[in-house]
Amino acid sequence: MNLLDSKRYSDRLVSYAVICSLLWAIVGMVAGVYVALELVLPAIDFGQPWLSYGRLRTLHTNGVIFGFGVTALMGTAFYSVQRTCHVELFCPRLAWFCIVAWQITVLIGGISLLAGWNAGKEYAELEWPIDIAIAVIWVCFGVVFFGTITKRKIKPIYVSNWFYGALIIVIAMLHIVNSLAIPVTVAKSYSLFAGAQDAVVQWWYGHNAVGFLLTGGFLGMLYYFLPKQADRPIWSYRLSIVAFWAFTYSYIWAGPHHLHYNAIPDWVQTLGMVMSIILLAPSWATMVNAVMTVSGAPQKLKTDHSLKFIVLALAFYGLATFEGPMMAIKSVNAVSHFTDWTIGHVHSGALGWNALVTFGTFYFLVPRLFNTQLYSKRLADIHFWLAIAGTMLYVLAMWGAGISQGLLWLTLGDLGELSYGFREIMASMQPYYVLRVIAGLVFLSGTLIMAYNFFRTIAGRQTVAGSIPPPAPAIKDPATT
Amino acid sequence: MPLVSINAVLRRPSALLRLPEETRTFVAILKRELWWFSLIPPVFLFVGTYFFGWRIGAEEPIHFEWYVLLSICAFYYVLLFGGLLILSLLSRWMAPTYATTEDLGSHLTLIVTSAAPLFLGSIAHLYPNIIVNSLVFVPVLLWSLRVLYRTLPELLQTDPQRGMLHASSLVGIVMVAGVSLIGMSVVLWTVGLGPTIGV
Repeated sequence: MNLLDSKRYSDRLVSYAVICSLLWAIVGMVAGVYVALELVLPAIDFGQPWLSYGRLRTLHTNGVIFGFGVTALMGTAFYSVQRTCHVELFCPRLAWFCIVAWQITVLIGGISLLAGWNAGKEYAELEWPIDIAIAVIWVCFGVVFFGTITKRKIKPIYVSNWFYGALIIVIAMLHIVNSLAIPVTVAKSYSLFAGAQDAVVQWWYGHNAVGFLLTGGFLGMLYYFLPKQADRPIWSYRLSIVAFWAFTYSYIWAGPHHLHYNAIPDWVQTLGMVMSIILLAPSWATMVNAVMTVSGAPQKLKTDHSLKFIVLALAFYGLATFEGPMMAIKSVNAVSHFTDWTIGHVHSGALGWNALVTFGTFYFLVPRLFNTQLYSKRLADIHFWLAIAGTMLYVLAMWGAGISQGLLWLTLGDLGELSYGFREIMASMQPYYVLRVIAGLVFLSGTLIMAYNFFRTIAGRQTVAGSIPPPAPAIKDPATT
Repeated sequence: MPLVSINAVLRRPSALLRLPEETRTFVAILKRELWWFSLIPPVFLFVGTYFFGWRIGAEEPIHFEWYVLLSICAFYYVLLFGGLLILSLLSRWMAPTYATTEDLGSHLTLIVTSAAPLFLGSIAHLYPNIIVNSLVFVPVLLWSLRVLYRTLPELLQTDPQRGMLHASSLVGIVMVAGVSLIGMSVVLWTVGLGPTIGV
């Protein structure tokens, strides 16, 4: 068949999503470095409320999770679902609406956070008008995704689509339930839940947002792009499906580990702890599956630069998914809770896993979407080492800070009184916080190098959409086609 | 006495392979390098903590009685010695997966060589201050990673791609082991072993 006559995938919106995601990564990381610096030099808010720690910190988390992360997930979901189903996206205009409306919503959300609109729920700070917009866009995302699955030409639904599908369904459920609120003004609402119930609902949302968005969603990305980059099928397809269902079943119960030693029933806390420990099995099953997939195709590491990022991301995925269940153990949590150890844990996942697997995917996608070569492999190599250095320094600094905080807070004097005051402990955190700023700058500089590399790669070029293959009689593994 | 690990750290990995093979056997590395190399950090820590105290965050440094300090440093030594041995065993266990050599001596050489920059950097323990130690250990850690990634393919006789995978797996194991040690320590503290804390 003539290539010009063949049908094409909707790839222009994927290019747009990748570029937007990259811009949000820079915005979110700059905000992150700035708030880290504010903990060392508090005066740099210059007395401006919009530059205060409380507002900028939420801009950082929302920018990287919803701007960088979700935009990347939408783009890669749209890219991979077409190729694993051998059809164009269902209703491409609706897909365009999702991508564009999401950018506008995140932008307005970011501005509203700087203006001080805040619902007071972690990772769900956006106020009710923006929550409604998110719900509408998310439903449209689901319509496009599942619509594409419905009209697929490949009978089996590839495992990456299971993960992306879980992401769409579970996040919709979590977001809608947790955001139920009574609006008072345009800028203020009060949660429909109160007291301990509010806390339980919030962390049912909060932890499963980590689970189904930052873990499950990105596993969807991994399961499609890793076999593509390694140019071989996933090591064990059966293991991937078993891991998916085990992951889906066990993750949803783990939220209460955020509320250890709190005003919720003790058995709920214990349940959260036990399910968190069980979660280690499906998490590591996925890691083993991914490592064995790459191990069978080491020669690709020579030619496909992005695979390096994925391999490193797997190491940090292993660390984060081990550390999480361990921190959910109540006796460990007694020391770790409310300390910077938690911040270190979150960033070993966010920087080491989420960011690196996304960067690896972008290094794979950008040259292919624009049908060209990466501008500089040398710059990509520098980025790789800056990413390792930044992440490790961040994690080590926060481990040190967290353990020190935990010990100092709990140290008792001879009469049973607390030995150290809050001010004293915070003052002693300065060296760790300086290290965190350095770590953030190192990681950010790597991201900026990648952005420059991509800018030079795609400058003056247009997206070249991939052609949809003609129907094949029997395709066993869509990931390798 | 050829110092295999120092050779590997300061020169190209190929220089290491030019050293006589009998210097890179499991027993040779254990007898000639590992036992005393692992002593360097605890000795520096003992001297530094004894004279300057241990600053973990509180304004006043924490001073220990010499015998308490000695027991901490002894555990530190056992941990380093045992940890490196176990890591070399794990490295050999992964050898069939990454098509690297199964000679245990080569794996122990690799592990000790990669740890050598950290052992040398432990001179910072002489002044147990967070900033001083961080300023030394961050570049030293990167140096150690670089030695691991550069040395592994030649020492374990594999191609650079498989070497990269093997090295990344070792980094993953070290990170998980590190966080496990922290977690186990915290569990011991909360059951009453170690510092007295209010839990």
